[in-house]
Amino acid sequence: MKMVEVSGRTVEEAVEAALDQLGATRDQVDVEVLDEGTRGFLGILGSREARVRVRMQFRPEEQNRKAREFLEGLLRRMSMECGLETRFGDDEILHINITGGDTGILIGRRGQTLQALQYLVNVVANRGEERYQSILLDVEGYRDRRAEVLQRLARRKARRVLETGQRVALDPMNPWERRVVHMALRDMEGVETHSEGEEPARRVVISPAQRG
Amino acid sequence: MDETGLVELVRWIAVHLVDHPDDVKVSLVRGEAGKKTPTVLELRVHPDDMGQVIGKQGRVANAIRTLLKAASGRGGEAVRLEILE
Repeated sequence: MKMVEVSGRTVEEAVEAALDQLGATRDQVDVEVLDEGTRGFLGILGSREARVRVRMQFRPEEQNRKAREFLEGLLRRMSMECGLETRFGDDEILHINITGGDTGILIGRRGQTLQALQYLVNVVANRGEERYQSILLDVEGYRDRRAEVLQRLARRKARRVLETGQRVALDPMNPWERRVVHMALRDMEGVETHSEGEEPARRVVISPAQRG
Repeated sequence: MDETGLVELVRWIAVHLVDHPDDVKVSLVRGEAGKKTPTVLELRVHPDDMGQVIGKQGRVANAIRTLLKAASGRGGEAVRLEILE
């Protein structure tokens, strides 16, 4: 991410100089003041320059625009009356939530239609872009609900692994679902997780942790 | 959804994937009821764009097929997607 550190007589002057260097406007950057500086006595004695760190805010506007345009046209051609909500999360992932429409069809069996939509949106939005912006697509909060189910399942299976000392293989899941399971058990003592098999039959295996 | 709707859907997806959108052609080859041949959607793209519409390990093509299946709806007749130069 583009960032510069610049000094100046005042904070304002330093920021102005930094914006020139970045070729940016004030609303496109985040400013961190490293040193407010002091004027010193009569502007000479003991004066210290102000110092700022100015960072370009990352806004995946181009990818967002392309993703929305593509999705809107695509959903219309699937005869879906939908809205799109966009949010750029702290995780630096662009979240797009489809609201309305026939959610059952858009999600599909085990989320596979949603997964196909998401894959195409990522390909289309990032075509020709220098920086890859990952996009997570959702339909009416389906992923949150699905994540809760998967987390409960993961903990239940992990407890069985602890009780029996035997590994347990879960049903095949898509990459996003597997990640949810891995994360759910990451901090659990006594068990380990990894994935086995080839897509689309790839599955998470929970096994007793190896000692040492 | 009717079959012309599916043609438009595939066209929309394809033109967003390729470098030569003017060369995207989608045509419908109806199956014959008696002979049990399925209806086929033929997607033609510029030779240089074949990789873009197929994708690594066919992932793009499979995603398009999944959407076609979803769009043709419950009880809709199966439509096969074929990608040609």
